[in-house]
Amino acid sequence: MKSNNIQQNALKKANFKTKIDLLVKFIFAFLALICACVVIFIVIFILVKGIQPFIIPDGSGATQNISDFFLNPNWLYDGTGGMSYMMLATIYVTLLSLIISVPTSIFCGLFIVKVCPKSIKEILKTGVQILASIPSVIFGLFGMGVLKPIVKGFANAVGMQTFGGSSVLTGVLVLAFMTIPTITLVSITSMEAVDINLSKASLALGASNQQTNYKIVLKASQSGIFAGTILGIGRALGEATALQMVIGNGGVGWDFLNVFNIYRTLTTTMLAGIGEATGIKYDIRFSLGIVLIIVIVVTNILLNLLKNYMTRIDKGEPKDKNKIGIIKNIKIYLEAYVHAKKN
Amino acid sequence: MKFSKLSKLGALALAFAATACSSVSSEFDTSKAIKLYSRSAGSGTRECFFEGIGYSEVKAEDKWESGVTVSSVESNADIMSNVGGEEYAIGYCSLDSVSSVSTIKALKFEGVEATKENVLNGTYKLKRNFNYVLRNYDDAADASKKQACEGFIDFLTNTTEGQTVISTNGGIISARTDLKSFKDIESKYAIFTSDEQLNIDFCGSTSVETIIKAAVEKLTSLVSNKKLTYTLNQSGSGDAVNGITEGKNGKLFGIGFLSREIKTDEAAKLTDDNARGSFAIDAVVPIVNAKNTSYTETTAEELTKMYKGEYKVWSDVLSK
Repeated sequence: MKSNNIQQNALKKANFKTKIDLLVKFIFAFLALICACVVIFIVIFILVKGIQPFIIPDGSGATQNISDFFLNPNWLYDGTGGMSYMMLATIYVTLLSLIISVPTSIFCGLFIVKVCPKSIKEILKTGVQILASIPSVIFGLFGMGVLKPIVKGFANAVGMQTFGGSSVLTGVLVLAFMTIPTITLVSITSMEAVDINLSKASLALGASNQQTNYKIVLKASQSGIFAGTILGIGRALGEATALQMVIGNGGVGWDFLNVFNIYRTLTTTMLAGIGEATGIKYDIRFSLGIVLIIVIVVTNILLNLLKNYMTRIDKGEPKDKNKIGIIKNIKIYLEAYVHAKKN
Repeated sequence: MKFSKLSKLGALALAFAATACSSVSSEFDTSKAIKLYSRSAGSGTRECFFEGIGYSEVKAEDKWESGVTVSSVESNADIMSNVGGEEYAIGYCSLDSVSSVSTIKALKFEGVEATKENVLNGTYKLKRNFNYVLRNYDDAADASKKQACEGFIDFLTNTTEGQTVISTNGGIISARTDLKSFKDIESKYAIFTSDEQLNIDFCGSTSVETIIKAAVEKLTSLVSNKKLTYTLNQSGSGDAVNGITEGKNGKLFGIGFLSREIKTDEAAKLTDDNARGSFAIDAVVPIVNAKNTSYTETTAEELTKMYKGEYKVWSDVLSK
């Protein structure tokens, strides 16, 4: 009888535990669902609001002209503006900022993980972490107060005239400052995860410290660095406030190619004058939002594909032997070509 | 060892930055290009400025002539700090904020200094009136609507509360001694003290929106009838008279606001029963950098030519 009771109690407890498990599972599933729903809801909301200006006339009867939207080199809010050049400028500014921030972040990460003495490692790491959490408007103020005068002086020194230092270059610098901590932090994590035995083996083979750092540690952590770069790109593409404070918001067509010119990006245009906008001048910003979402999604997909591709080549698991063969062949041809040129 | 080297490098970088900053020459070089600044599209100050100098094509949108680059900034404070940071800049800002910054210089417009007195006595021309026009409620059934509209205008123009709202939101008004408090006029309008549910729709200029929005908030917080509401449907001065006479999208509005004078063809649609008037003045001042000592006076023509790109460098303007 007694043993039966104990058995029953144990069963009851087990039952209770499975029920709790089930409940927790549902709660988690529910929370995950909410997160997913919010993303989907935001995208649908932006899509619906963004397509409206093309179809439904606003209070004054204005709609966005579709051919102008793609072809007009100038941006106007009244329904005849074109966004193509702004889109290109957004990508251009992001790319330029990455040219500065990616090498800086990689070497900064390498220094923190491998080179610097342990005593200051934590201090530096905390510093970078704090930098990563600084709000963008502070970077904007920094850009206005510090970078603008420097860029202005630099432009004067090379014989150019800027709008008081507001320029594409200042925007690029601010974005670089903003993306450095993001990329550095992820790089640090991935470099710390590199198997110590790899470095030891390299050292044992007679490679110097720096050779090991560059050829082993960087190589082994490249997918992490790449992931950090993707995060950085996301931050740079979506940045509005800081950029708006330094980029000048003006310019038409290909003006942005000269880094001392002022220009506008998708985000700064969405933000400019939003407080006083009504009708189509307000709604058209959602259309720009769609363009921005598409740009961000496409860049992310492309970069992730590239990342997977690179890791696949590295790990030597060619699923698609043909393509990788072609890439390897191109590499061999290039090397042969460079070699031939040298001689 | 390494760190002393690093710190030296840092010091070098700082020194470079400092020289880059200080290499800006303090002398005003008239062969440099005029750097044009404007408020961003949709700003009321921008509308007032470009209407005032007679270059209406760009008052609402960035429809600059090709080859003209204009930097659009967000606010009055922004345009002042930008003009203050660029020796060769020209811009404009609203009158009430201009005196507070030392790095910029206000220009005389057509020989008249921009002051509140000159705006009010009409000699300073870079300004516009904010006007209102009331719908003619001739049906006796609309008596409470009529009261609600008249009460709002009375609140805006004749009470200390209303006038404070106007001046804190950038409108220029003359100092008056005959102002009442809202409590004094509340009893004049039965709708303010009853509990009748009523909504009045406004239409017209977007430039007055900040003032009217603030006034509506103030009035609805003061009034005892909490069911009385006012809704803003601002879309542009062009809709003001149409909105109260013919209506728009099947809706007739109670009060139309204009950021300009009523045109003659619009006045033809109105009768003497349509109460109308001006409740505030908006004025804009052209500004340059304080280092630009040689340029002190400007005209509508010069400003238009600058923003059209006909004057490209400062010597073009100064040699006139």
